[in-house]
Amino acid sequence: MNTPKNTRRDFLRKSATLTAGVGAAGLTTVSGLTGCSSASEPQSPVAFEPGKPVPWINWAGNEYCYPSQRLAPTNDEQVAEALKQAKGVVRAVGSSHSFSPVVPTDDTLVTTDLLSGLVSHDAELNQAEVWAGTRLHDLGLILAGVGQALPNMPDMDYPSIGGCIANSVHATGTQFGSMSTYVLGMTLATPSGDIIECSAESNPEIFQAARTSIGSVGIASRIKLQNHASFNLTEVNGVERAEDVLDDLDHRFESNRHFEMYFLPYSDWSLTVATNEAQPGDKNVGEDDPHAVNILRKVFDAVSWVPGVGEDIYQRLIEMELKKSAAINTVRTGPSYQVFPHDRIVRFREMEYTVPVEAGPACIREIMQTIRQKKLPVCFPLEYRHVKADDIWLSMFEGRDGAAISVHQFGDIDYKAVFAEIEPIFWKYEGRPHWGKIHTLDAKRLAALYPRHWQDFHEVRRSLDPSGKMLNQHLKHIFLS
Amino acid sequence: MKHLRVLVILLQVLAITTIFTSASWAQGLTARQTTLMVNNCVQCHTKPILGAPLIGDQKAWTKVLKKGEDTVLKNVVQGFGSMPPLGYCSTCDEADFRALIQTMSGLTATP
Repeated sequence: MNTPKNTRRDFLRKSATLTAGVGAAGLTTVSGLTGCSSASEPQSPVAFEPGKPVPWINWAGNEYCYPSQRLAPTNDEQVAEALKQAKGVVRAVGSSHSFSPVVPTDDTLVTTDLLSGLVSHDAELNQAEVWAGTRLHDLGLILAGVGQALPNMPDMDYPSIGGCIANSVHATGTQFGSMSTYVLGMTLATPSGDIIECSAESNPEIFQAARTSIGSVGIASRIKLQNHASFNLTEVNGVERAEDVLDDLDHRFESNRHFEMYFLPYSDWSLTVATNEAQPGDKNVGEDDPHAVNILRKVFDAVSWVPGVGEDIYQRLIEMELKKSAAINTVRTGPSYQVFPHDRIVRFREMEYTVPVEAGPACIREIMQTIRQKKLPVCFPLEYRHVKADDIWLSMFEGRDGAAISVHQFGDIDYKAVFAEIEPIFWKYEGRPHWGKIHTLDAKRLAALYPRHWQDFHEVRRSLDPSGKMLNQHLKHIFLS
Repeated sequence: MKHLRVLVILLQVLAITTIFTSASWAQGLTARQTTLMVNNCVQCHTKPILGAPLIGDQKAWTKVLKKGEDTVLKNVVQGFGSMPPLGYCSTCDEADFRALIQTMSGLTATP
């Protein structure tokens, strides 16, 4: 494999240089920006002073709370005891990576940092039981130590496995379901403080509810996973015309173990990521740049304010360099748990809906067209992935293969106006919102999206938590309102 | 080559665990705090590409702690630059954060 003369990172850097040229021409001296930086917000929603109570704040900095009681159990019994003794509303937290307000409580917060590590494993069946608070970045190494690997992983490895299961966190690949589908069994502490083992054979209805419950049926302390034997992957990143890829989409997803693409607002081009089992001789080419989206933002901010034509200038700058980079691929190869995740150090807020896979291309086309037509101030790439159908009651993929489409806004900018323009497009295509990401749907509208098992789920939930101990304001909104 | 990368990472984890359970570095750090560090802080403060001050890099940490430990603590809780609020640690209280800052820096900070 030859080393390319250019990479995606180079493209972004050149774009920034071009932008500097625009600035030198005097275009950036005019006030009245309408671009990505137009409504700056502080990174933290609350100020902290030493000696005062430490708030809980999520990764994105859009949710916080001051729990009166914070408990950090280290085993099954302590989790159960925490639930039994807890005052008020009880919520559990892993890595705090959810964008939706699934965590905030002013009463009892149960943290799972200390529920971490491998409990046991079966080398013959490639199965492992792990503590639910184990972070994915640890889990990869831990499983590698016993010759196993998760079948699939999200593109970042910050979340805890318990948080992933509670919210049906997923990756991409037509042959792979969400992470909830890897679960063989769970040790669950119920809201009343009992410890239950659940699986397809034991307490099957509780198992079905707990595999995607948004943390409403208790707290999982241990999770048994069906893994694969350790394997290596090679990820190839490319730059292609978005319409060319959409026309070939079924083939792309069928011919790669994993495939995803990123749509660039105001551009006809896209970034593609194809990941397959590594072959002998595969080598790394180029490298990830975790700051790359900031460069896109600088370009956008530098030109998008120009009345009437700013977005067109941005499009031309981006496309000029993308065309040069179209034949260039960056490559990452290595153990699966190193290739799947990427570093995410640029703060953002995210809305994601999963639409039926057949509707995916029409939905993303309408979103991209809307961004252009309404000149929405967004330059963060949109992510497009496929996930296999499952039978989990509240999974976004229940009963249908899904196309998951993610919209982002930088963390210091008000996301609400842009998301409000795009969210109704998802509704047109029967989209189901990601439980851990931003959306505005209430119980009535969500129930309509899960016609087969909404009632089944809530019967189990009510039987385990008749007083609504696990329901914070957000869960009441999505389950009861 | 791939085996080498795995080996390097395993050694990093082993080294970190060893460092924090050894007498000199673990002074003032409980077993619980060691677990919190490995589960949370290590994921960024051992990767040079991310720009976070690396564990044990006293030169980098001296610059950070010139702000005073109280300011660093506020930055940790509120988030600062690429660092998310609380550094991912929902369990940590103020004493935990102070101990982790001091241990990662290898320095004793002044408020």
